[in-house]
Amino acid sequence: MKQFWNTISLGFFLAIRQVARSSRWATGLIVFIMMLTFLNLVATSGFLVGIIEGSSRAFKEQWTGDLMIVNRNEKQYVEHTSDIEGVLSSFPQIQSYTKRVVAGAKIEANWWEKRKPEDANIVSNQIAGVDPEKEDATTHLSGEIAEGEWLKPGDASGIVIGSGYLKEYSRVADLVSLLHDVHPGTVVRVTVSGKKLAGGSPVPEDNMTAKEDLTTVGSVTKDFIVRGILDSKVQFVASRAYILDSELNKMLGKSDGDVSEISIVIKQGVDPYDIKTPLINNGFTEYAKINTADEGAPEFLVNIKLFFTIIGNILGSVSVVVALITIFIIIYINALTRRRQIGIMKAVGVTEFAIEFSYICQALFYVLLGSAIALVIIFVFLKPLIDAHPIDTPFSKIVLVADPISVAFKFLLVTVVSVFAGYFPARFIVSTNTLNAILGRNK
Amino acid sequence: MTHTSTIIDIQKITKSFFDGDTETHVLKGIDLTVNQGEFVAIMGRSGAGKSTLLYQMSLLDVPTSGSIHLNGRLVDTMSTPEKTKFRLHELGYVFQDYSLLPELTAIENIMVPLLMQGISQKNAKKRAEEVLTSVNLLHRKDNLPSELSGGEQQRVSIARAVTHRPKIIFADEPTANLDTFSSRLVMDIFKKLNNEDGLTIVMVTHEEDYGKMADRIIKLSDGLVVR
Repeated sequence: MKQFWNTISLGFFLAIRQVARSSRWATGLIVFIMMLTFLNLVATSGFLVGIIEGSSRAFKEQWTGDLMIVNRNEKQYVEHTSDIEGVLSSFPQIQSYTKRVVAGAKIEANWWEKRKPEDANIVSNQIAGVDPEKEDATTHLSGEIAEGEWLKPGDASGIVIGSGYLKEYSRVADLVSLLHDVHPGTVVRVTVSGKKLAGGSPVPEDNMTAKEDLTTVGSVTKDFIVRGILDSKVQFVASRAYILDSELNKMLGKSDGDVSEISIVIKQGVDPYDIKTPLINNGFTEYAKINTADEGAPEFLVNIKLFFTIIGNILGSVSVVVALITIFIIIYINALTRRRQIGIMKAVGVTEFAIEFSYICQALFYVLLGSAIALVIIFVFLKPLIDAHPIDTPFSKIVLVADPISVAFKFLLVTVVSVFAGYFPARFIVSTNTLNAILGRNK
Repeated sequence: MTHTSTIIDIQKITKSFFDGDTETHVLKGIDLTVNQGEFVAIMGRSGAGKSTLLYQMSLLDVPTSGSIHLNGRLVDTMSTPEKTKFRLHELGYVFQDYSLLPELTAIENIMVPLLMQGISQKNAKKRAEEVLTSVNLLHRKDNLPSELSGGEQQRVSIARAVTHRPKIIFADEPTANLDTFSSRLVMDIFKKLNNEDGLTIVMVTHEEDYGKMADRIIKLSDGLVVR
């Protein structure tokens, strides 16, 4: 055991001095290469997963919240919404929630210019009735407004239209029928399929008309003024128009208070199941589906995320191999240029493993220092910067996913790899004949 | 100097090299004994086999045939780790071109065998300073080899060879790269180590003057001892 510690101790003694007294430029370059290698290892997969993570986050932040309650398949609305809301109010862990009434709608613009049916500037999609303040507090949709502004409380004649309705914002405008020439201030006509009220149609306001559409049984039409255009990368959000919940309820003839969706945002550090489980225990699953953001994520997102994770892992594995080869070459050249000195050390009684250990220490030094710098760059600069300013792409806002556990594993992996990559080239050189090494013979 | 017992005993060693199909016999069956505390010079013309003989008896190379006993132990059948350990404790080396480790200072070079023996850094440093003092180089202890003259480097090399108190010093043309003054200084150190510390020294040299400083000259010619 004493011999072993002598070996380790001398190997370390030699390594420190070899690194400290080697060329600063060469050491700096090697550390720089190792830093890039580790950055590549973490950032490549991190950005790949981040493409989908950006979408997932946007889904969560702009639509589902941490927890989403929606109608059961066989029901049109979340039944007993007021009871559910009563329970939600009792949870101090909930930061905010928003209720939405969602209905199918036709939205038409410039109808007064229409000469024949095919000239119609009309589109069918979803319309959501929301409380503007609660919606914004929960999903921050005002931050996604591309033109104009978000709805104001009490603005009964205002509508915010999602970019998914609009030709100007669409990349597939020629393939589908979309609205054109719609901007803040434009008047649009909204038609929803409503329930006939015993007392007749909802009361018209000012110069807007709410009347029964004679072509659709039970449909209700009302004109709104566009307040803003909502340009979200979340298709579900962008493919909706937003009006006050009170207005949509009137048009639908709804007065029971039931809604289509409730999105809930919980306080940081709270487990969504701390809310979900009590709701289930209260028996609300009879009236609605209760899903966490992950459970409610669209299947295609889950699949793409898995796919990108696999691609990221493959690229990460390539990075590890690159790191292995890089360190191997560096240590091999290092040991080869010191072949004579290695022979001298062997001649004076230094054990082979002490010499090999000194090269393992050098490999570890280069890799650990390079990786440590990369970690600082990732966690101190890159990740906070990209979290604050995600890379905007047509598909999503890309973030850098750098899970500390996964990064720690990669750090451990390159450390283990560097031990082997340091050992084998050193072993190869050290095992050559001592006298040949001293005399510089190539045998 | 009184020689008490045989410390190097070489029996019929041969060494051959192959160059393709051609076999060259460099050593052709050498018998040789060196007594403890003896200072022996191996001399001969270029190609006589002086250095090859030194490498065989100093465990840096393996003879083609024959046996070598050092300090009473049969060494040519030792395993590599055993030879390393034996070199570490029993032998010291001085090479023609000094062979110091360039990234280590003078004192660190001298400390290497001591650290390998498990001596603490503090004690190794103390011992290294002692031997540096004995070769009048304590003031240069923190200099790298590249900052030392050839003569100084060779004195550091000698200090490294004796720091762990070996039984035998093998020196391969230690003055070949030095000027007259430095050569004389190095030879004086060898003489002092032999006379005062009783170290056995086997030195290869082609310089008659320095050979004469040894107790005995072994002359090689064409792979055989001729005198």
